[in-house]
Amino acid sequence: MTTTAGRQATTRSRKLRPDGARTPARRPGQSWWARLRRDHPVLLLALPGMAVIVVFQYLALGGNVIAFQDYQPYLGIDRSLWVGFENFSILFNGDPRFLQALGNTLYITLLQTVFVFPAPIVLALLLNSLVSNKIKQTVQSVLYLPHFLSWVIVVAVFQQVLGGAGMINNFLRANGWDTISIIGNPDAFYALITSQVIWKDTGWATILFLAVLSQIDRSLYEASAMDGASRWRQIWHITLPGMRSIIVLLLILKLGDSLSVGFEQLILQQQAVGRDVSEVLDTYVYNNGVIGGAWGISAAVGLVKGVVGLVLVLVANKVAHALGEEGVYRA
Amino acid sequence: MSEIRIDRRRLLQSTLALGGLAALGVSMSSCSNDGRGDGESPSGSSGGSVALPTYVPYPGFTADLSGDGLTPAMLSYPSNPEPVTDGPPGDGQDFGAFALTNTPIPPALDQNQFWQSLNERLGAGMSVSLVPSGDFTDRFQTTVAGDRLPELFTYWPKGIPGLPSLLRERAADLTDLLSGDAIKAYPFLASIPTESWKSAVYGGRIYGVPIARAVQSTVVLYGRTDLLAQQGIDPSPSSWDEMHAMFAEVSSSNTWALASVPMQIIRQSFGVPNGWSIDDGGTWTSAFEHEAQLEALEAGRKLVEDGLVHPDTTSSDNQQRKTWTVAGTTWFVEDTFSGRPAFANMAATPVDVDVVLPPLAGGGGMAPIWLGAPTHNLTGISLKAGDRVEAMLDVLNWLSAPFGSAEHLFKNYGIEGVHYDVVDGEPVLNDKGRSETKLGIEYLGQGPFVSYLPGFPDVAESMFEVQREAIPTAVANPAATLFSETESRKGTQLSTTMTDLETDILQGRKPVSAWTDAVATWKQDGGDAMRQEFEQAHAENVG
Repeated sequence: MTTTAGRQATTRSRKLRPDGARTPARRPGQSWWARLRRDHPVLLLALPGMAVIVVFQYLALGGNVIAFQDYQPYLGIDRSLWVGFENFSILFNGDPRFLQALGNTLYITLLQTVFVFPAPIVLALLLNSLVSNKIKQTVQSVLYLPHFLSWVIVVAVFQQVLGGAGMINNFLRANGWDTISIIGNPDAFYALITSQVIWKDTGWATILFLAVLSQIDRSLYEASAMDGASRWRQIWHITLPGMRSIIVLLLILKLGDSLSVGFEQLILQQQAVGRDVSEVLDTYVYNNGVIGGAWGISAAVGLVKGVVGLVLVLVANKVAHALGEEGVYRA
Repeated sequence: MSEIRIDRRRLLQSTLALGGLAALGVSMSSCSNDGRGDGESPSGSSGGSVALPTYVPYPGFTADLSGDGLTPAMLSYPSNPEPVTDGPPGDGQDFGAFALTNTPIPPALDQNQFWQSLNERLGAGMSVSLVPSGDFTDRFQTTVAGDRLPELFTYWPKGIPGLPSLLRERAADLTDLLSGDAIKAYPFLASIPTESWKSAVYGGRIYGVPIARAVQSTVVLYGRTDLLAQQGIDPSPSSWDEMHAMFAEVSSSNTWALASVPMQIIRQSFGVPNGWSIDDGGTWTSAFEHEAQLEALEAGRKLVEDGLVHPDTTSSDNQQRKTWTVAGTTWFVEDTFSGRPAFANMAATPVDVDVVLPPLAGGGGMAPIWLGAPTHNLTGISLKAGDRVEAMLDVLNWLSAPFGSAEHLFKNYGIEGVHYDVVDGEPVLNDKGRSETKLGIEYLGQGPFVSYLPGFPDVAESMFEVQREAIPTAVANPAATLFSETESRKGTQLSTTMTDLETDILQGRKPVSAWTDAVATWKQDGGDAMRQEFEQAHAENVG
């Protein structure tokens, strides 16, 4: 039942594209040349974007070669010593600082998947249930705003409110009550950074979900209302199935950079809580490589991180296919 | 990969310095050495066997106040400064500089009258890439990696892994042009004290021109003497317990005695050596392993526990702490001697801050304070300058023109009526001057440091008096100008681990006893190797 409704929702929404056009299907008889002649203006338009990707993503990948070198910036890639897989030994010999960074990263990833990822879905559902369009748009604009603030500002705002000499604690102190330690308290650190991410990005992340929600066929709701379905049952049987493919897509993409848990946000607050809780793979690479001069080891860690991300995306995509979802792409 | 992120972080630090937003991020040194962690990690250079440049003090300058080993002080600027050079230095060709800054970035060349007239006087176009001191190491490393160092570049004598090899690959060897009497071709560089030149020697060759600071980079504790006087408190405690009691007396619900835990001051009070100490037998002991270290940490931890330190200190930077102190939120702050002038410019009505010298912890007089490193930073000349090395040295010589010369007045204060106004005979920068003159040239080339604050002769005088009191007994870091390979490669990483632990202990996250274990690890990971290398380098220098 659930799946059928979901299918229906997606199929319907695809049929109802605004221009009424259907995706041009590849006709087997058409030659490569004919397709090129037909599509060349579009391909030309894509060229600048592709050039950027090639230069800044693909060519830059070559720099990973320093993961196999005792790289010294003043010697450059051509003259630095080749050390093979020696830099990768840190992954296996149990270097405590690396393990700690890895552990913290995985923990934060878990927190973000459990608490941060669903937040925009819930918010989108709430927003969608607002009747007045005017209120909806105002609320949306307010919610988008934090996304455009840099981490510097966000961290500063949190500090001004929650800091030891911040608004809340000054108020408590003025009234002779005990103060609460949040900023700079390692025990509260994960709750703090998770709240920061939710505050900053949840509003922005609702955009995609709201777009999907608006694509769900209204008549499904009407039909279910006729059958006497409550709001909850509508959400469960119509709305969520309608959002399912985009949720899966985003979840897969999220897995790809699940080991990147926010560099700026953490490095800005690292000094206050100490590295024991705040060192993650990205800050480890920075502290160890750029600051400590262990470029090769840092590059190795970064490379492994990238490979793990890639594997996760590929596996998750396959799993999605097995479950009958579109996933990110089909080979 | 993380290029943009680094830039954003740099932006953070300048933003904070500007706006005084909540303090965050990595410590940022103002006009001081704090960001470099001096004291904990001695500089990586060596006297070697090279003949250091001959010291020839500039004959035309006499300080109002001077003394052996003290920073000369001037109470007023000499009237009618005369030029000391004839015409533009160098070869008239444009050059670039990678320079350090502690102030907001100045306006671009086309809107910067100071820069334009500087170029006129140099007879060449100077382009500057300014790097905030807090981000210096990252920017330096990435610039080196991209092979983008311009003709002149600033660097710190330590803190960059593998510096000697780096300099060998990228910097011009200046030995033949500067060693011994050769320096006399550059008279203003010759007036830089010998002690500072020691930091310019790597592997027995001279690789840069030092920015000398004499004792100016010594860290001291500043106190708000005006507020203390109002409360009737005489800030001259005779033991650490009295010092603690004084801090407790001035703390109240929204005021804290200290902007940070003054660990340098506490360690001085408890007799921990400045970086390293050498006993009679020639054995070196690191400050980390010194027996007084645990007592000092306990004293520091207690300050936090008793609520005498600003609660947001761990997420603040130097600039923020000074702001708190000027605002009266905190009453005491650690900073260098050279950090003093900045207090004068921070509030509309200047506040009174003065140095509070630490007592010996157990009583019995003043504790010996720790001398700062003799060299603030160095300016190297890139190998890419090719045959223009001498021309570049000539430019550095020009920039090092002595106090009281027309060049010095222009370089520091710009043009009269445009960048500064003469108030009671003293050049006082106006807003335009304050923003346009900040090109980082004071960290490219500078004569011997002179303590002078236009319009505040009493401050210059009181700073001089404090030095006269404290400097004779002050202790130097014996490793300050010695080189250790291990220190160069792993020093930063090792000392960061210790500083992190220190914060954990002070904040009560780890017991003081954790220090002992960490010292054992430190020794094993490189501390012992450093000791041996320093002992050897020291023996060679002495013998």
